[in-house]
Amino acid sequence: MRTSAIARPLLAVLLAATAARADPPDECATAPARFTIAVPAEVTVVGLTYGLRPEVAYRPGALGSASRLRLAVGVLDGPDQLFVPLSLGYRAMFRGRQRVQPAVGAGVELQHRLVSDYPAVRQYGVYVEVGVGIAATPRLAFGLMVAIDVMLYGGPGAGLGPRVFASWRL
Amino acid sequence: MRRALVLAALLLLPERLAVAHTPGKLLASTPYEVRNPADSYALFGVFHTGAERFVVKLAHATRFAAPVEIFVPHVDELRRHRPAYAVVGPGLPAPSAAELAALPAPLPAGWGAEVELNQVTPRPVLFESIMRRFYWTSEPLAVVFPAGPSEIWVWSPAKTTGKFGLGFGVEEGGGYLAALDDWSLYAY
Repeated sequence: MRTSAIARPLLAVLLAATAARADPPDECATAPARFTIAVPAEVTVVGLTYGLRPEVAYRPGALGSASRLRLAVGVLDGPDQLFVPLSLGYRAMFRGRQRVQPAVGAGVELQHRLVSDYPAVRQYGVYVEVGVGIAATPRLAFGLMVAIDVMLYGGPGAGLGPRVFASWRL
Repeated sequence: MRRALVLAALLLLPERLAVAHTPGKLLASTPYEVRNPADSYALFGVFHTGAERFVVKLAHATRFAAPVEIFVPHVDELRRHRPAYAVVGPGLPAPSAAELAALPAPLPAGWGAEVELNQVTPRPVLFESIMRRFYWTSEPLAVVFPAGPSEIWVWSPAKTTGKFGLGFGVEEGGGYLAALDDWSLYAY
């Protein structure tokens, strides 16, 4: 069941990449947008949860700049907890005019973990992320990201969250 | 692949954050022999029938005070699962008649017992930040282990089944990578 839940989004990314190859976008693979919204589906490996972590990315610089500011809020459910992370960080999106666009990022994260009979657990820490987006159209992209977080306050620990996403340039 | 990713995450953890309990797997068929009784252990097992008795064997050079705690994953299907434990050995206090009756096996001659039947209501909750899981816990009970051999017995008084964890000891170390040997037991 879990394998299928992971495999289907991966297949969707591969299909999107294949479709894009058959019908390539013009020389500017991505639209000149300030904002990008994305809807990543994520599974957290340490402390099992699964759900969505929607995000918005803002390009503060000129067209062609790799820099993005990223804000994300997730809602992920698991067998023993509801996980609500809030992330704020920097992301560099490379090769913005190409179909395949690597990305790396880092930032701070506040994690809430909720159960019915205990006060919410709040942890503060940092994250790093790496991944790749594939432009399907000038506005639509699909991709994969992997994030590692390290919580420093509120209970130490490290986590790992692979995610697949669809993003749209506004 | 998942194990490799978890390993990468743990290796990136700053050293000062990387201390944790030593993990281990409890089997009803084989007593668990504790090598370093001063270390902090988190041993996990599963009641498949509810009739099992899990045994942990220790040997302290001198009397040694340490917390002992039993916990159960915080999931709905284990809401009524309340395993009990007893620290048994020579030099421990004589249990009450009720505690003696609750033990899963007769005490050897000359042995006493510290018995925790895990009946606190409402059930205390524990968040364990390394594995990022919630548990229902008996809460830590300080036990003075005698010099020489002693044992911890774990059983399910209501014959309920499911996972449980047993924590005891003091010194945390870096043996947590052993959790990768049986990741699903510890993590999920």
